[in-house]
Amino acid sequence: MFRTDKNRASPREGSGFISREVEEFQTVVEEYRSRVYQTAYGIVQNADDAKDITQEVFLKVYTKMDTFKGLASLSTWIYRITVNTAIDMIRKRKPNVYTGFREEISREEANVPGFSGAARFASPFNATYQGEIRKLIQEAFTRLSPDHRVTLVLREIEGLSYQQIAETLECSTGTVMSRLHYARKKMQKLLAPVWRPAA
Amino acid sequence: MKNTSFYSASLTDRKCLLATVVFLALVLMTSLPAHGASARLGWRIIRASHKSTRVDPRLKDIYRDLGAVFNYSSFELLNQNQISLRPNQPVSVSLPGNKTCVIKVTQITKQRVHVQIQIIKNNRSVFGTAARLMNGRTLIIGGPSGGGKALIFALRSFW
Amino acid sequence: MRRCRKIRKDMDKYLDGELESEKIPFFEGHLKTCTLCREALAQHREERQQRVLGLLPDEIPVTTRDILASLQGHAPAKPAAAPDIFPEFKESPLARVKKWVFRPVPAAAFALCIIALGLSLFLPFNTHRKASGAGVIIDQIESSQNVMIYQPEKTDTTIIWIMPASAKEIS
Repeated sequence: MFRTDKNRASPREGSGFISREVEEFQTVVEEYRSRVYQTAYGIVQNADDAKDITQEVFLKVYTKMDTFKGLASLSTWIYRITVNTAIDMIRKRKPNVYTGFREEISREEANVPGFSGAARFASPFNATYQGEIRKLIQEAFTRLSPDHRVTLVLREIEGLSYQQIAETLECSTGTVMSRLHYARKKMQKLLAPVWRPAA
Repeated sequence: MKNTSFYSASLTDRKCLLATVVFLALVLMTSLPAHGASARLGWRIIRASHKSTRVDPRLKDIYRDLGAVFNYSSFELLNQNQISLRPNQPVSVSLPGNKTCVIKVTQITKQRVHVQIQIIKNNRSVFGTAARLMNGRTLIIGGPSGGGKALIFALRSFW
Repeated sequence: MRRCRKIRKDMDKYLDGELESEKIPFFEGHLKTCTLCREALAQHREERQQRVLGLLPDEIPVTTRDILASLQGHAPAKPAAAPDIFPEFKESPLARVKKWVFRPVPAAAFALCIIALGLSLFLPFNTHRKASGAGVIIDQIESSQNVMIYQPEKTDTTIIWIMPASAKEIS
């Protein structure tokens, strides 16, 4: 697809000449930009980091295109780079940036104004309520291990099948199912006071 | 030498006239639609399903509204566009499943834009409605399209 | 009760669309008869939807242009200013103004532009005002099928839901 010799045209040539490979790369960026950002954001839950990850991913895709052997699909390869870059980012950050300080979300926190449990879902949208719940969901999510976060994001945000996730993470579907099970269980446990607050 | 300076002067004038024409056209384009003669409408075609949980971030507003009423978990944006419509100037939008949606603005008042929406399949009208939309409001028309999926057409007035 | 436990265990797989095909008839058959499991599934689905909504970004702030620019390590360089080849012919600013003001065509064009801009800004073209009342008023509906109209409170949206002809299509 791309030649990857070191002297190839850079993406923006001052002369206005755009080589075919750059044009092709541009198409790849156009197609995968949203998915990469959304996955990265899903994993790190931080817009600035997600932006950095997205740029780093495409830099890697651009420079390592020769290592893409076509054994997996392009999307699987790009997801794999995204996931690895996001995990590196999580590990580089101080633990408390993503993992929070407390062990559980208290019932007081869950009792956000106007919120009364799962029955509330059927009620009209309320911005304050949505904002508060979102914060609690994000906080609970950042307490999961990187592997659990990644698996949950690929399944729930990106809608990948168990098989596709297994190919992306280079593990078995059994591992995917087990990670999903534990990730969901932990999220449910952490958010139990949110979905079913004490009377 | 004289000729050269004369030529260069007229070229500048020509450029100046061209710039004026472009500017006037732009002014006309921006002021005429606001004269109440046309309404700006934005439409989105969405497919909802239970198959995955993928939600296009551009559809968060729809997801919140529809998610509260119907149990769809995935919202995929198939197409979107904005149009400026004058009264009685219908526009056709292709929908999946060989359907066409015809949107017609019938009247524009100070407060609302009056629209007629008709969904046509095989040259036969399957659904029609007339509604009045305030600025910034959305009318969603949707329904199950088989296989646990739903097709949603969202029309928003912007003017 | 043992059946219910099995169903609850498989709920995520079912919602993921990954439940083994041979288990689906049992799963869906049980849901038809067991209200508790049906309600549990609905709640579970809602919790999952909220979770997705909580984890999604508000926007995609990275453009293709940003990405291509970042590959260069910096934003595209601005074109350098043209070299001053004939500095001796450089006009003074006053001379430049005089040259434009005293030429009829640019002066007339400039005046025309100002008039057009003034008209577009000051004439009462933009007469729309904010109005109170329902955001969307449905005047008429023609449909061979039943429809449901829903107006979620505190939203800008009105929903017309066309009900399916056969009950099977209702999710």
